Amino acid sequence: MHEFALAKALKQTITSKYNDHSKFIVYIGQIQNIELEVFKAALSEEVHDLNISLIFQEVPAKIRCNICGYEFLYNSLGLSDDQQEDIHFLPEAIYVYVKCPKCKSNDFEVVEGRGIFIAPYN
Amino acid sequence: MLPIIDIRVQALKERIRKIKKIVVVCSSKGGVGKSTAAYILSCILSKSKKIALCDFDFTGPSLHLLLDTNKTFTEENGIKLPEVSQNLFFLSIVFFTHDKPLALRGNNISNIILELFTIADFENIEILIIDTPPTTSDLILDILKYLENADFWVVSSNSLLSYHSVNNFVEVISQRTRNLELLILNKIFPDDPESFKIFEKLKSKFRRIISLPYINNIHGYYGKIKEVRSLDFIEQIEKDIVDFM
Repeated sequence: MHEFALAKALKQTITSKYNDHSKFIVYIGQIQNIELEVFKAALSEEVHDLNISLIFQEVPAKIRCNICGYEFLYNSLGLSDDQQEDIHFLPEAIYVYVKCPKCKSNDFEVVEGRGIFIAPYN
Repeated sequence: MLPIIDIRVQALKERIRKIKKIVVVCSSKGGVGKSTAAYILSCILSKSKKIALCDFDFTGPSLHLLLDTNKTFTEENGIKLPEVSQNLFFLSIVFFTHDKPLALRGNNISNIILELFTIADFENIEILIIDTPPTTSDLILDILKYLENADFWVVSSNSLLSYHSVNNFVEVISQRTRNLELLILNKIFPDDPESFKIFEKLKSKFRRIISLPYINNIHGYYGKIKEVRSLDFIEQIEKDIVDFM
């Protein structure tokens, strides 16, 4: 599962950037299609020795067409499991499978809900 | 407010720290044979080293055709690259797009680079060879930004148009890196007396210049690594490259 690679990346970020924090919020973009339980299990292996606490927040994916400006949501697209699997590994595969529902353009932007980000909180 | 950080940036740094050598096969000019050169040089280098040949031409990938492979990754704590021939591993966007058409804007290019370096397992890879599209825009700028120690192997064909473009390309790249290692003059005809004259001006910018001949029926060598290695010019190229590396 590539959740393990992402968990490792999260640990590397914490240990290199946030030595003086112990509480973090992890923002998970919806189009990553992360299996949260798998990700948490991978993280518990990776960070168990760091004595930190993590809060997870999924960020819904919002998409805006660069041609007509129409905004639409990822979960309204009705993608197949195979298509979601490709996007899970490489979110830019979305440009293969998705067109603007209004003008049918493949020139759009994922405004929110792509990637995994971390921030400390107090 | 405390900063929000993209976890992939640190992941990329950790990944590349473990790779002994990263080579970027590049040019600003299209049609000069970058992918073919990357393929041939990978065939040579994988005789003795573990190579990961990576297709970073995200909108026009072609290395899967040159390698004549439909092998894809396996999942194992990330993605494990397929070994298409002994010691020769492969990474391409076609694993995820299945070679369907794709149009991307610049920020997507940056995202793909970061994503691939986060999820791909380059464990035990000795040399990463990155094939790139003809560009001096986002992809090359991101490579310069993220892969600071990469070596640049610039490809040109023997034409005034190519020389002009590559000359400007070198000017831009050399402002950002000292690692202009190799100039590859590609598709050279043996009876071409003017082959190197105009490129003499670029000689001082590179550690070495090599030439690859025009190969008749190159399609016949797709996916045939052993046959590529037995081409008559390979021995000299191998000597040049191995000495220089």
